[in-house]
Amino acid sequence: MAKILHYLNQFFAGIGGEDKAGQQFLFLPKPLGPGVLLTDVLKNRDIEYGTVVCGDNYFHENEDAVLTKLGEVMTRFAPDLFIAGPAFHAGRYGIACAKTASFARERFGVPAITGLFEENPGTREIGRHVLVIQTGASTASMPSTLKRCADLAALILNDDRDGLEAFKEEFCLKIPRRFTVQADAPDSVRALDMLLAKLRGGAFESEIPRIQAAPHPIPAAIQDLSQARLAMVTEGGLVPMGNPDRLESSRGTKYFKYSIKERDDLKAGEFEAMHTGYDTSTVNADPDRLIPVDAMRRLEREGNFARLHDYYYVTTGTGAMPAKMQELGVGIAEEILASGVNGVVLTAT
Amino acid sequence: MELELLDFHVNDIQWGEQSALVGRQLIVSLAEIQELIKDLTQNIKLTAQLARPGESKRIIHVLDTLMPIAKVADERRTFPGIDHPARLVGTGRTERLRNVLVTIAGSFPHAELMTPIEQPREGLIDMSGVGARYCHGSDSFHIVLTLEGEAALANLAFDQALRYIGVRVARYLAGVRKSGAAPDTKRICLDRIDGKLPKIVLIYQVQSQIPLVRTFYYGEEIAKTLPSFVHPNEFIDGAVVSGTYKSERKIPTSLHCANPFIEEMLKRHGREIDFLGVILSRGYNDSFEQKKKMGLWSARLARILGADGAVAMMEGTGNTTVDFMQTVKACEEEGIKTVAVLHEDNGARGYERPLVDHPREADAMISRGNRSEKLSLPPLDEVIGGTEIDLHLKAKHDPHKPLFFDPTIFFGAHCQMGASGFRAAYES
Amino acid sequence: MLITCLPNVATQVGAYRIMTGNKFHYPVGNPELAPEDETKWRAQVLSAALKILQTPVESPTVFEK
Repeated sequence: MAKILHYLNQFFAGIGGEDKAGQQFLFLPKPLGPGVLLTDVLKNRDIEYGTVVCGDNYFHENEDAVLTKLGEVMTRFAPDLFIAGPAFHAGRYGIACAKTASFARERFGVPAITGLFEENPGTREIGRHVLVIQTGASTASMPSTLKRCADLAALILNDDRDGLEAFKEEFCLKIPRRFTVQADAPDSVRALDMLLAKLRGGAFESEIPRIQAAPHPIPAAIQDLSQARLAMVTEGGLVPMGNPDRLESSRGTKYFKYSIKERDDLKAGEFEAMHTGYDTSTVNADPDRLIPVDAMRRLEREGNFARLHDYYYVTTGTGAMPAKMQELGVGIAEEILASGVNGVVLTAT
Repeated sequence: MELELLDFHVNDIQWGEQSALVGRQLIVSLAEIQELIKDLTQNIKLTAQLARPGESKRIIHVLDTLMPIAKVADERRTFPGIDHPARLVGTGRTERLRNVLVTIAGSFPHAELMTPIEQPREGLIDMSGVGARYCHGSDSFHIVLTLEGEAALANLAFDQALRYIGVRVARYLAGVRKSGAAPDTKRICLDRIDGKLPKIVLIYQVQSQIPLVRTFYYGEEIAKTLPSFVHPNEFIDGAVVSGTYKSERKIPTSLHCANPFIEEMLKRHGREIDFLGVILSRGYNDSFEQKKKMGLWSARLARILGADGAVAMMEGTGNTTVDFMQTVKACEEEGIKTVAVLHEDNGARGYERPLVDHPREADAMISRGNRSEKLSLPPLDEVIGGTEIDLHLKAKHDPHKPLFFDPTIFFGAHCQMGASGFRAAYES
Repeated sequence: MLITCLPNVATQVGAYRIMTGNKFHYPVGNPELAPEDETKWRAQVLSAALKILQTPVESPTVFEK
């Protein structure tokens, strides 16, 4: 007997559409929606089927709580296989499928399958060893996807490794990602071998590729600075004394704004830097060295630009992952754009 | 310059009345150690425990590990300049316990007074299980000294005390009475090589910024210094000592003394390469201009030494990668072919750009694996060194519960991931 | 515009208007100067930053101070 646990959103579980996207997490000891079709295909096997359902909005607003509950179900139900979706091109659902499947695989070591269209943002959240069946953009590809899902489930449950490799090659999305693998020798040995090859003019392959960041749109120059409102942003972790919002001192996951209204400069003892990546003592002695309020006020008074924004924005960059910083950057940019700011001076430590 | 090096290997460690090495068993007298460091532990609570490879033990709050090394047959001391006036080392005779570590664990007395950069990072040593291959020291026998500084002690006094305790106990253990123990004896020197073997230097970039985040050379803090030539024998005798507590990224003192890169180059010296020695440089310079200059000077030194090629490795992460890459670039521009070794930060999901800085000249990279990939770490039976794991200042974790975290939680992870033969590679 | 001590890293991640800061411990600080001189110095740095905001660019560009 094999046990399968299947994650679905409110729509595919048959609960409702967007109006039911707030559906709380629930467990049902039976197949629903695509699961019913799957059990039809797998009907010659003895399978105990469970379904976990969560509304798309509920998942995103309560991710940690949902995963905690999913963990309880994983422990209690102890599935041999976890299936999420397929989500096709549905973004929120795709991310939820990626995260639940990765959670099952990484925390519980349970084989996990999902199905995504190649442009689904969920492809950015796929954990190592999670199998992602390539789907079309719409539910029109549901029948073929479920057939493949059943084939893949059978390969996993039969522990058919060669079949699995062939299936991955033919039907799974290729999402190039770098993970730790075992080389044939320690770094010190490989380094010297590579150096000798390089010195001989022989062939060698660098183990780390040089990857260019994707280009983004070029921000236009400010035409008339005298009419411009400017804001200051930093990743240097400057917060009011006592760090009231508990900004992390490394790998920031949040950003905050703090008022500089009616301040002509930032004084020691009123602000402090939370940042493990640099020696904060010099900034703490004069926070203008990171958020240059004194200089900007002087330039504002002299009419170089119209107005300094009432708040500065801050996060902590050290050790952070670029994707997270990009997310925070977008949040800050949207907020200050909405406040009518035309330009930003961003200081980085 | 020649050093006679006697390596003793143990296969067990036990407490006993008198410290001694009997055959391959190391007997350690706690009373003797307590007496030895009595003057250093006035305001420090000391707990001592043993840990052996394969045991279900997790050592937490590890601050440093030291290999027992001692000079014999003359009056000089290993770890020169730390707690005694320095004399030149790297010649004469050194005895060491090759697979034993003096492991200093514990907490600073006034963590609340530390600026963020001064705060130690959590460092675990797992003696078995998944984590064992990610941390330095799981294949060694440990005398773990857990130090808890009392309130009367300032952080910098604790920092100094733990270093003095470490070097003193390490010297003492290497010098214990030995019976029936046959060492491997090696003669270490860099003979002049005739012929056409390629001349190679090792570029060795350390982290040294401020007190609590520094590295010592003959007891002097390596800060604002120029790159220096250091003979491998000086490393073996403990001329370079760690004083940084950035656990996962640090090169522990035991790895300064017995560095796999230095050992590999010594092994191939005269056969495949002409090993010229080590260029000790410092990263984390304060500005781009300074970082660039450190690279230029390292390359200039390598050129003057006559190097054809260089292997470059570094301690740390983040902005110090720029210092490192400026060095690689400068070497290549001086015509010195270079291979550089680094960890990668590809993120938990594996799709982030691997390196902070990657200039075109760095075309021969060795990877130490993706240090931001999450690991599932079941608890081990016994916890040594403290009661709570610090998840890098963000949360506390009960060490008896399963832990889901990346390799940065492990002591000496960058070095050990490389030594374990880990690298990152594309997977689809 | 971005003031950073690591202009090469900023270029690689694709920032467009880049100015080299002083030290990464204090990108717009100059603690060796007396306080009033430091503020003057900083105003000059920020004045240059404002010019950069008004300058069209076509690729990641590191401006001279």
